[in-house]
Order: sequence, then structure tokens, then C-alpha cells
Amino acid sequence: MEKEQFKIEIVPLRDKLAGCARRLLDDPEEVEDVVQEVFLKLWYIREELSNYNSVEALAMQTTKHLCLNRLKSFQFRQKEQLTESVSISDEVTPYSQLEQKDSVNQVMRIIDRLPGLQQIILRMKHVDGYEVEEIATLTGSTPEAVRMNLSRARRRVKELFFKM
Amino acid sequence: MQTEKQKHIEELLERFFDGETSNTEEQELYSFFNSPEVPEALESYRSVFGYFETGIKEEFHEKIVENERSFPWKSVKKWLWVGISVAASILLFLVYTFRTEQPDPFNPYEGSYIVRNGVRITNMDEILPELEYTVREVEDRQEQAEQIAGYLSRKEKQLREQEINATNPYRKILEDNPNKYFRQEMKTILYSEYK
Repeated sequence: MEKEQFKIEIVPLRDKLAGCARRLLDDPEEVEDVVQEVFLKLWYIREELSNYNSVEALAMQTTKHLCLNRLKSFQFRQKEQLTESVSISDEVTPYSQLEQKDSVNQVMRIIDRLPGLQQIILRMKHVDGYEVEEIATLTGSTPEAVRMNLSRARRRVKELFFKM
Repeated sequence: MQTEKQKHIEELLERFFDGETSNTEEQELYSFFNSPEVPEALESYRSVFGYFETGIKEEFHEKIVENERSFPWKSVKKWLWVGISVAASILLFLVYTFRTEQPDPFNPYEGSYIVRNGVRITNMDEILPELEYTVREVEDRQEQAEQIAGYLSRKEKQLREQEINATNPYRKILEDNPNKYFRQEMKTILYSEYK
């Protein structure tokens, strides 16, 4: 499946997917992010799309799951903030030492520390060399919306580098 | 000259982190940070741009290789399940056929006997034809009885209809009146009352 076909067959699903996401998420910016991510995920499996009975159903399911993931991680983030504020202590306990050792052993790739959408956008831009405008046509969104996510991803990478 | 270049690069940097640079401008940034003439103020960006130029590619490549490495395991697991289920169904099939291969000794005439001249005959081979003949005769009789019962019920129905017609007060009117629509109307009345 090439770009033109993708644009004709897949991108028109955008309204439906946005509707689905809007039912689960309140923030219109998050809705936009989820829709972008769904389209880019579909773009990377474009060769296999013909194996599915209904690409629409696949896209809807993906949208639903991404929304639920976001809701879950939001709850998780809140809980994390709460526990963080509770245990502020400089004491060196065996537990905290063990924790630190674990986190050192577990060297994560930088890319794995970014949210899914930012990962995909970085992949499109830096691995496959797409321009922002091309990404925007594939997701049916505006170049500004893509640029914003690209900007966030690059700034996040910079932050991670300067922290190390 | 040097400062002008630095200004240009700083502007590009700004736009890079706003996501506004084109691919060619990004190439320019990469080659600038690869060159030895990076000013001290921008030195810290060198590793970041090394990552943007090649690091991301490597990480994605690693990821894909990892996925491929874990993939065969998945398919092996799948085939293992297929194998197990095939074996189980063959086993079930064999057990089933073994059980059914043993002749099922069900005999509807088991324990039958015929008393002839005060002698009780239990030899199956001898009495079986006679038994079967008897059973067939019984079945024939039953069939005849059913036919008669059917005939009787038909006859009864016929008689009842006749009776209805004879006692029906509208019937005379119906017969006398040649008007088609009137007759139709009457018929509906007749059948609604006597059904």
C-alpha cells in the first residue's frame, strides 16, 4: 500500500476515530495525539493491512486501547506523585541501595523512555527521513500538530541527554 | 564570520527543537556537530546530535532485531500447542474406535422362547424366523388399525359438516340468492359461526 492509497482508504477514518477517542478522553489535544499515533502505527504495518478483514475495526480497536492506556497511565502518574511526596528522605537504607543498583543494571534505551507517539514520530523523521508535511498528510492532521509532537520528542531527548 | 555562523547554527537549533527544520537543514546541523570546529558553548549538544543522526537508527534497529528474535519462540510455542492438540485428538479417536470395534451384543429378542407341545424352545437360531414373522404380523395389524381409524375420523368430519349444512338457517338464503357479493358475505358469516 503506497501513500496515495493510504490517503484515500485509511485517512478518511479520521472522524470516526476522533469520535471514539473523544468519548474516552476529555482533552482535545490528547484526542489528536491518539489519532496521530493510530495512523502512524497503521502506516508502519501498511503491508499487512490486507490480512485484516476490516481495517476500520482494527483502527477502532487500536484507538480504544491507546485511550485506555492513557487513562491508566494518568491514574498511575497521580499515584506516583502522591507516593513521591510522602517518602522524601536521604537515609541510605539497604532497600534504597538495592533500588539504585537495579536502576543502574536496567539500562534503558532512550527511545523506550518516550511515549509511543513521540517514538513513532522520531522514527519517521530520523530513521525514515519523512518531512513533517508528509507525516501530517498520513495522519490527516495539520503540520503544526505534528510539529508540536516532534518538538516535544526532541526536547525530551535533549533533557534525557543533559540529565545523564 | 565565526560568530555569524554560530548565530545561524543557534537559529537552526531553535527551529530544530521546535520541529520546524527541513531534512536538509537537519543534515546541515549534523555535519556541523561532526566537524571539529564546534564552539565551546555548543559542545554539550554534540552527543545529542550524534544520537539524532545515528543513535535513533541504531536503537530502532536493535528493537526490530529483538522483536525478530522473540518471534520464532512465539511461533514454536504456537506449533507446540497445535502438535499437542493434534496428538490429543488422535488419541481420542483411537480410544473411541477401539471401544466401538467390540461388537455390541444387543439383541432385542434376548431371553425369548417358544413353547411347543409343552417343550420350551430357547434355541435362537430355531425360533428367530418365527419371532420375526410374528413381529411383522403385529406391525401389519397395527397399520391396518391406523388406516381404519383415519377413515373413521374422516367420515365423522364429513357427517358433522353435513349436519351443519342441514341445520344452518342461512344456507337456504345462500342457495336462493344469486348475488355474488351477497353470497360471499353470507359465507363469512356462516363459517365464523359454525367453526
